[in-house]
Amino acid sequence: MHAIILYMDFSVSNPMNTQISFDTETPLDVHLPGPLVSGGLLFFVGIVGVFSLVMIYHWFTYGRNKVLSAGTTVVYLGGVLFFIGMIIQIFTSLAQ
Amino acid sequence: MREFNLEKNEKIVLTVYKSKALFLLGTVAFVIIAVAPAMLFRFFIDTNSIVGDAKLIVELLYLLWLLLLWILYFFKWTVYMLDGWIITSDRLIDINQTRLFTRDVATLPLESIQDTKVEVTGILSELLGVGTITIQSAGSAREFIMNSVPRPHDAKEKILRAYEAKKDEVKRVQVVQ
Repeated sequence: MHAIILYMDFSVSNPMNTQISFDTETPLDVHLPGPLVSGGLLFFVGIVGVFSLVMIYHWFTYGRNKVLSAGTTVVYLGGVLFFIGMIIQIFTSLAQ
Repeated sequence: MREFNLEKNEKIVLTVYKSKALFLLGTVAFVIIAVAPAMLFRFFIDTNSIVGDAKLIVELLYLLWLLLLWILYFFKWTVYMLDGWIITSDRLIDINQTRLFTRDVATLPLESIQDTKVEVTGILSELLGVGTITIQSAGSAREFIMNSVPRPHDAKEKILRAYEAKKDEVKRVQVVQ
């Protein structure tokens, strides 16, 4: 990823009818070097992974029963993988 | 359960966990917090003006928000699922899961129970039939407290019955000796 160009112009027309619009004429350039983004993403996924492993360990070690623990793990991991997959997909789109 | 092993002739009389109804209310709160940013965008922001990279960044931030909430929700679930009391024919085991890495297990022999108290405070608790059970033990400054217990009066009765049964057993053993 070389650059993300963010266009934002927050304008409030009147206090009773707040409108925030994104103005495409005044770009705000945010340049992020590739290694920083990749490193940040890896760090983020790592933190989520460690946190998830600890929770899953707790469910199976101290949980009320194995079926509940297994069900919880499947639902939880399904959600996490979905969100991380979507996040990586967006990063890939931004990089192109 | 890894924290304790049942002794010979020891039976589990009652397990007390926090109220499902309160947890479901918490779930509704999580759902509201999750959809709130999307609703704010829908009503206050001209979404047609968000195009290209800006749109992707907004989506990215929202996904990060959802992921954070998802993890927090399951953290709450962990505390809900693992925090509880197990009352056996001999003792009360208080499992306290306060944070992800903080877990303490305390045991109280039933014959050491000195006082049991049930408190139901607030309209919500009254409506949902949940309350707090407090057990004061003899010879110890520690109180065993369990919040958000469903049907707390029933639970208290069962604990007291187990206590009476244990007291009778101790008396019988003393007479035989």
